[in-house]
Order: sequence, then structure tokens, then C-alpha cells
Amino acid sequence: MRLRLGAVLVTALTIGIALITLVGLLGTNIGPISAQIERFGITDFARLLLQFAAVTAAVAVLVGVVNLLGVHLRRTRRRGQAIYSAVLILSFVIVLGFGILPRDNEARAAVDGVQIALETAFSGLVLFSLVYGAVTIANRRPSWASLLFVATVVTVLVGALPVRGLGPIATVADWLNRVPVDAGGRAILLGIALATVIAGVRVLIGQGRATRE
Amino acid sequence: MNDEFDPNWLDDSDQPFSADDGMDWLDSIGGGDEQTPDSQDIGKPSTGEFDFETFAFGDVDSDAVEDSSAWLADLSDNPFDVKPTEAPSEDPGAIPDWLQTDSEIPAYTPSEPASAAASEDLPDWLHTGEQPAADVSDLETEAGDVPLAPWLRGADIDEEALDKPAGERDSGVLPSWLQGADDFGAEDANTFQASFDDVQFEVEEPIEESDDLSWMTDADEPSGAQSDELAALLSQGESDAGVDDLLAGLLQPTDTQGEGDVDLLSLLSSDAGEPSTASQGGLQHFAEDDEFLSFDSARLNFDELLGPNPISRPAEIELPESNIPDFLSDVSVSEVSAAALMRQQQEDRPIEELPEELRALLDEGVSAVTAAPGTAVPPPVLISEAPAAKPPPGRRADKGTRGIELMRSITAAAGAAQGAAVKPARVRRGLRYNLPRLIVAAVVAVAVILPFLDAFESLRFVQLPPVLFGEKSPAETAYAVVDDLAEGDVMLVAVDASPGSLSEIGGAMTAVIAHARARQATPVIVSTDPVALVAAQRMIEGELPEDTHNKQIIFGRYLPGDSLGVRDLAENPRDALAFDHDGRPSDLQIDSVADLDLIVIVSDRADGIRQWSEQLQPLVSSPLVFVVSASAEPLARLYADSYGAPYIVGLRDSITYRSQLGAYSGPDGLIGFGITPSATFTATPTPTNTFTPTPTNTPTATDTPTSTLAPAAAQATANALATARVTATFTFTATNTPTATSTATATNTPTHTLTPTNTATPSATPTVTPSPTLTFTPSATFTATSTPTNAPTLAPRPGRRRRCPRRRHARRPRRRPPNQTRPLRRRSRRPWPLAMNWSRLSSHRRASTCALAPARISR
Repeated sequence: MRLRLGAVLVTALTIGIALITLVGLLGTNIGPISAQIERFGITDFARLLLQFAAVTAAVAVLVGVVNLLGVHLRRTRRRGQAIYSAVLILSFVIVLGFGILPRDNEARAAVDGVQIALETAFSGLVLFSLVYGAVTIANRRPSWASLLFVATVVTVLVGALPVRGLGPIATVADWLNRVPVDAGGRAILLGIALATVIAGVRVLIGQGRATRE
Repeated sequence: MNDEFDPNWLDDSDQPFSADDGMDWLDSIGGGDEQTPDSQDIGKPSTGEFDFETFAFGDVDSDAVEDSSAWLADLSDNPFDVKPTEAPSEDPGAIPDWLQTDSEIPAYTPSEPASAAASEDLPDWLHTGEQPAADVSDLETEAGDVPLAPWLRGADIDEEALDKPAGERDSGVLPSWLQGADDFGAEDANTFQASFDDVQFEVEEPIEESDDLSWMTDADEPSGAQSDELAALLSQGESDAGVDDLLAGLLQPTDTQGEGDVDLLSLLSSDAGEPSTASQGGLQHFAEDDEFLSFDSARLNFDELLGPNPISRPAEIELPESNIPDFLSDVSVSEVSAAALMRQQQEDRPIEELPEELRALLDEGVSAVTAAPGTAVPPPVLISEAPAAKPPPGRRADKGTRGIELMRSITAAAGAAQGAAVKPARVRRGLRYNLPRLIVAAVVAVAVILPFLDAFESLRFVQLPPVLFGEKSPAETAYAVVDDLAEGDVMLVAVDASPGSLSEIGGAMTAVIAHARARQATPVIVSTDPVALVAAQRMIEGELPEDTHNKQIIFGRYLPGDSLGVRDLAENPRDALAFDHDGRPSDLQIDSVADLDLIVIVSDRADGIRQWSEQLQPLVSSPLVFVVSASAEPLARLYADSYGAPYIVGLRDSITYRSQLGAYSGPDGLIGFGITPSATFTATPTPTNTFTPTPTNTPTATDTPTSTLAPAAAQATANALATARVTATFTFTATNTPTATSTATATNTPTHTLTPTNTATPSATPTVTPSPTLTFTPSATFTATSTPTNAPTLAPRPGRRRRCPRRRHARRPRRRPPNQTRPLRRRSRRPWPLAMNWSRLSSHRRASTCALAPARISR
């Protein structure tokens, strides 16, 4: 078996830092050894590592912005796509100017008039997507599962309407939210928790993707 | 070489060629007229698909070869499939039959003329011996219309190499697949053939003047077995067998004709037979150069060239990996055809990235279709109908170019014929819009718009959000938790929602912040989304400009890294909250998240709720409140049930919260949702006389010892304020007159609901007004104590009392032990008048709550 020094070093570093961070974040919750952890400064070191990671993530955001600008600057030379990239770059410059040289509420106008309006419009499309999906499912190949899906969607949507006379449907919709949806939500959370534990264990034993390759 | 058998007709290129002159013998070879290299047959697209193999190798048919003689049957139908030549064997079985019988072999005697019978079957040019070379050149001309292998179509010819005898020619000019080959390099030839099975394309190369038959004349003495064999075959004279042998000799690979893999037509028609060294060099360049590996596939239509079916390749033939292009390196022909692969590549390329000529071709096709709607779409055109660029003067037209011209003329004629045959059908246009759909859309639009007009109030059949939260509802609990905040408390508001979702839950967020500010707490806004943070700031600034400008609300910085940032905040709150979003010190003294008095999570997505709850809640003992969108309610409810935390959901709870808080209060008190202020307060009667407790609130005159209070008693005053509020609330509960409660039966109609609202207005006004006044002086303490003395006078009649449901939730005990001093907090700089205003509004709300109790709509 051939081992590369760099890979071994990265794996050892990853496992060591992961262990220190885990023990440090557990902190005072692991019984009698908590005092030892505090005394040796493992908790403080773990917090320092955490801050490093947060700062790295922030720098990554900045790098992403610069990269995005570079990509669109290059795309301005292409035919047919240059206009979109030019608009993006121009918008970036304008909004950046709002932040650097504020005069009035230009930034607020940019956020309220563009960002919020667009996202609200997209949120409104969710209803149409649901309705379209239900119609498509019903048209293509009706099955018990598809009919159940459509019936559930219709029941929940109608039950959410604040209209008098829809008490029974609202009751059914409330039951759907209380029982099946809660069960499904808890199942999802359990799955996420198990996956998180497995991912952490894989890192700790050196089987993570970053250290394995 | 024997001069008598020197084909001098090859030297005479001026002699015109007659199609019916001496070419009859080709019929016996080619298998009939349909196999004759006729220009009408070359490359003619029959069904819209182009047969590249036929196009590339002319009309050479294997059946023709098989018909010629039996030994030719051993030849593969693939002209490139050349078997290794075996050494001359004595085995008679290896000799063709006609060679084993002496009688069938016509003896050749140079001096004797051919017999008359035999001469009839011979071509005419063999009779005369003067057949000009133009025959061959013209044949070359026609055969040249077909695309040939690149090394056959041109390239630089090394004249010096041609001058050398075949055996002395420099092997360096040979392609690599020929240099190391023993015995004519048949295996390499097969390899090359296999490469052509995989990739068949043309490489445009200019034709050179030397690409003719001059090499045949320049060679003084054809050396090697070929010349001998050719002479022997020619000496056989008139018999057909001799012709066959001649052809067999041409097809048979020799030491000088290393490739032996050319098609018959090419051998007869053009400069084939023995590829020039220049052609070999071109082929070698083609096979070894990077152009072969990195040619632009977009320049060719591989779907048309290769067809839908994968091209078979002999199993034993493998192309060297160094010569395999990248796009075919990991593809097996038997599994995935190159056409399919190229089709995928071509489909992935956007139109803008296509080469200019392909885009021009596409535009031409689109314009042709759009210009004549209804006409039949012509078959896919490999070659555009635009005339090719004229070759420069002094340069002979490329054979490939002539072939392209021919193809263009054929496709143009076919397209014109089809276009003329199909008449454009007249399309009758119907209604552009579906009328029923328009009607339904109009009805829906009217139903949505009209209820917003007061003139159509009867259409407001939708239930409005309740003015107050239902008892023991999660939102009511959330309201109570926020209402427990005290002056100097720090409330962390984690905004993890998209700006679009703030339209739904932003109202509740600002209401909670306004509520906290009314309690003189300090909200701290943080987010893991920078855009959401900015949007929240704008929204709060719009509703609470004074608090924002006075820095009563702190906007923290963006927390990068999602859950990592949240964990960083939980572990290092001092650093995370040291500065606000503008980089100014926040003056917050937060050493631990346990110092936070309330955490409000505003989110519209499950991940945001999960990461904030999981990373922050285990480290704090402070109460938690969720403000979530309707889509995030299911997951928020799970965490809320686990933590015992209340939650506010969606737009309806936002409206109710603001209504309950009094955020919609007008100048005279609370305004119910959906009711305009003018309608509320103009139509209400003024039952002022029913509130007789007004004269009883006289203790204001007794509150004179203001100077006796030391300034150090400010804290005690603040504490007394809360006590006074609570006491006053219960006091006002008792002020509910039976008149208000008796109208409970009429609360189903909005008209009656408003009536008690108005009754609350005067009751709240006189009672609340003194309470903030008392907060300035120690007399407030006395007011609180004096309240019970007033209570009996305000007691309603027994049996008709209706307690106000407000304040049923007991105040949460302070988490901090009494002996523990509160850490230094940010001093509130809120002016006292504002606090008075809040007290007034709060009293309005409570009084209105009591008055509106019969009208409450439980959720």
C-alpha cells in the first residue's frame, strides 16, 4: 500500500482538529473531565478554531463575489449574453455605490423595490406550481398515490382559506398538519441527525471524502 | 521495361476520352451500369440520409470483385482490409484455378497480334495501343468527385522521392503505420482502416499540381515485383483473365505499394495505385498531428456522416491509444456509436458557440422554413447551397470542391422539386384567446378586487384575522413572553428569512420588536443571510425610525457560515456582537448567550429553524419564540413542542399581533383590522356617563411629595411601574360595567362588536392617564396601593362580572436570583414621554380587550 505524505498529513490534521473541536464544544457537558478540558484550554482553542472557520467562510463569500464579477466581465464579450452580464455588473456598481456613498434611502429603494418585490413574486408562483403539478399528475397516469397527493394538496389549501363554512375541511387540514406532517417532519429530522452523526464519524476516523482522496 | 508494353497512352493526356470507348470492360468488373462511377450516382442522397461509406469510397462494390474471379473473393469487401501477403507458395490450392490450367492462361507473345475473337472482348485502347491517358484522367475527373482519403486528395509530393526507385525510397516519408510493418504492413493498414471506421471525416487540403499521374511517367523503371507483375499481366494480352490479373496486381499489395488499401475506383481513376510520398506524408501528418486529435467536430455533421447505427469494426484491430481522439478515448464503438456521442456533444453546445458557417447554415434553413410556411422541409443539407469560393487562378479545382458543387446542385434540384410539389396549405386562424378562460379570469379578478372597495363590503365574506389571539394559543403565549421583557433586557432577533418572505412575516417581526421597545428592551438583530439582514433593517427602519436612528435597536453583523456562524455566536457572543453592521461599537455587555433575555427566531425555511434551534437553544435558558412563515410551520412546531416555545405563524398572526399590540391604534384608541378609523369613531356613541370612576381618581392631588424622593429611587420607581400596570389592569377589569357585558349576545354582528369598543375608550382614558404620571413620582406607589380602595367603588354587580381574559398568564418568575445583580446593560435612552405613550396605548389595549372580549374570535 502506497501512502502519500501529504495525504497522511492532511488526514492526521483533520482528525486532530475534529477531535479537539468536538471535545472543546462539548465543554462542560461531559461530566468530571470538563474541568480538565477547561484547564488545558481546549475549549478556548475550539472557539478559536470556530472563529477561524467563520472568518474563512466570510472570505469565501468575498472571493465568490469577485469570481462572479470576473465571470460576467468575460461574458460581456460574448454575443447574445453580454447584455445580461452588463446589467449585472452595472447593478453591482450602483448598489455598491449606495452602500459606500449613502445620500438618502437609495439602498432601501433597491432592496424594497427590487429584491423584495422579485422574491415575493417568486413566492407567489409556488401556488401555481402546486396547482400545475397537481393537474399534470392527474392527467398523466392517475394512481392512488397521485390521487392522494392531489387530494392532500387541495384539502390543505382549501382548509387554509379563511372562508366561513369550510369548518370540516379546515378540521381535516389541521389533522393532516398535526399527525402525518408532524410524523414526516420528525422522520426527516431523525434522518438529518443520523446523517450528521455518520458524516462526523467518517471525518473522525479518516474516511471523509476530503481526507480519503 | 519493355517498350512494347509501355502504356504510352498514359503519357498522352491530350487525347479526348470517349465514354463508350473502351470502357466496356469495366462493366464486367463493376457489376453493371449501376456500379459505374457515374456522376449521377455519386453521393446522391436517396432518402435524406447520406451514406458516407459509399460516398467516400466511390461505387466500388465487393460483388464486382467477386464476380471477376474466385480468388478475389478472399478479398474483404472493405478496401482497407488487406491481408498480409504470404510468401509464394507451391501449394496449388493457393493458385487461382485459371492459373493452374495452362490452357486457360493465354500465352503472350509480343510479336503476335491478338486473335480476333479475343480482341473483341478487349477494350479498344488495347487494340490500338494509342488510347490516350485522357481516358484515365477523365475517369479520374469523375471519380474525383467522390471524397477521397486525405492522402489521396492532395498533399505535397516529394518529387525526389518519386524519382527514386521504389526500393530506395526513403521510408521516413511513410506513415508510422507503414514504417514498422513487415510484409506490406497489413496489420497497420487494418489499424488505419479501424481508425477510419471510428472517425470518417474529410480534411480540407489544397490539391497540388503534382497530384496527377506524372509519377508514372517519371519513373524510369518501375522496380520491384509490381513492375514485373504488371508487365507480365500486360503481356497476357487480350484475354479477360489478363485484365483481371492486371486489376489483381493493382489490388495486390506489393513492396512498393505498401498500403494496398485503396479502392478500385481510385486506383483506376486517379493518382492512386501507388500513393505518392507526399500523400503518405500528408497521411502521416494527418494521423500523427494534433489536428487529428483535436479537430473541430462541430464542423461536421456526424449524424449525417455516420448514420444512426454504430460502425462495425473488426475485433482484432485496435487503434493505438495515442492516436485515439479524446472524445473517443473511453467509448467502445460496439456500445456507443460515435454518432451518438457526437450528437450529444452537439446538442450540448448552444447556438451562439457554433462556428460561423454552421450558424449561417442554420439561419438559412430557418429563414427558408419561415419564408414559405407549409412547404416541405428539405432533407438535411450537408453542404450549403451557397456556391463555393472560386479557387484562385492557376490552381486546379479541388476534386472535393467539385464534388461539393455536384452535391449542391443535386440538393438544390431536389429541394426545388419538393418545394414545387407541395403547395403551402392555407392555415385558418381561430380565436387567439379562449373565451371561457377569459370569462373565468375576469370573474376571478372581479371577485378578488371588489371586496377591497367599501362600496362592496357585502362581498367581504372572508373571515378577517382575529383582533386578539385566542386563549392559550401559541401566539398568545408568545405575546405574553415578549410582554415580560423589562427595561434593559436584551432580545436577540435572528432573522433567517429571504427578503421575499419578509412580506409575510415581517409584520410580526416588526411588531415583536416594537413590543420589546415598548417594554424598553434592546433588540439585537443578527442574520446568517446578509441580504435578509439588510432587508430586515430597511423594514424596521420604516416602522420604527426613531428607535433606529437613536440606536435603540442594534443591527448586528452578518454571521457567515450558516450553522457555523450560529455556533460562533453561541460560543463567542462578545466578539460576535461587539460591533454593529456599520462597524461601530454596540456597547453591549454580553459575555454569554445566557445573558440574553429572549431569543426570537424569524425564519421561513426549515434549515434556518433547525440550525438556530439546535446550535443556540441548548446553550441558553432564555425563552425562545418562533416567528415563522406558514410553509415553515410544521417543522417549527416540532421544535416548539420540544422546547415548549411559542410561535407566531404567517400573515394572519402578524396582523393579530399588531392589532393586539395596538400598532394600528388611531388617535383615540385601538382600531380593529379592516375597519377604517373614521367608521369606528364617528359612529360610536359616547357612553361617558357610564364611567363614573373618573371622579374617584383623585389621588393625583395627594401625590405631592415629589421632592422627598431621592434620585437613587429610580430603579424602585421602574419596578413600581410594572406593579402599577398589573394592578391597574385588574382594576380596569372591575370597571367593566354590566352594560358592556350585556351586549355580548349581539357581538356576532360587527356593529355590536364596535359598540363596546367605544365604551372602553373613556374608561381607559381616565384610568390610564394617571398611572404614567405616577411613574415619575413616588406617588405612583401610593397609587398602586390606593387602587384597592377604589376597587369596591368600581365593583360590578355580583353575577354579572366578566373578567378580562388578559393577564391570565402569570408573570414568569425572573430567572435571576434576587441577590444577583444585573450585569451592566445598555442604558435605555428612550425618553420618558414615549414610555408614557406606550403606557397609554397599553392601557387602551387592555381596556379594549375587556370591551372586545365578547367579540373575540378564537383561533
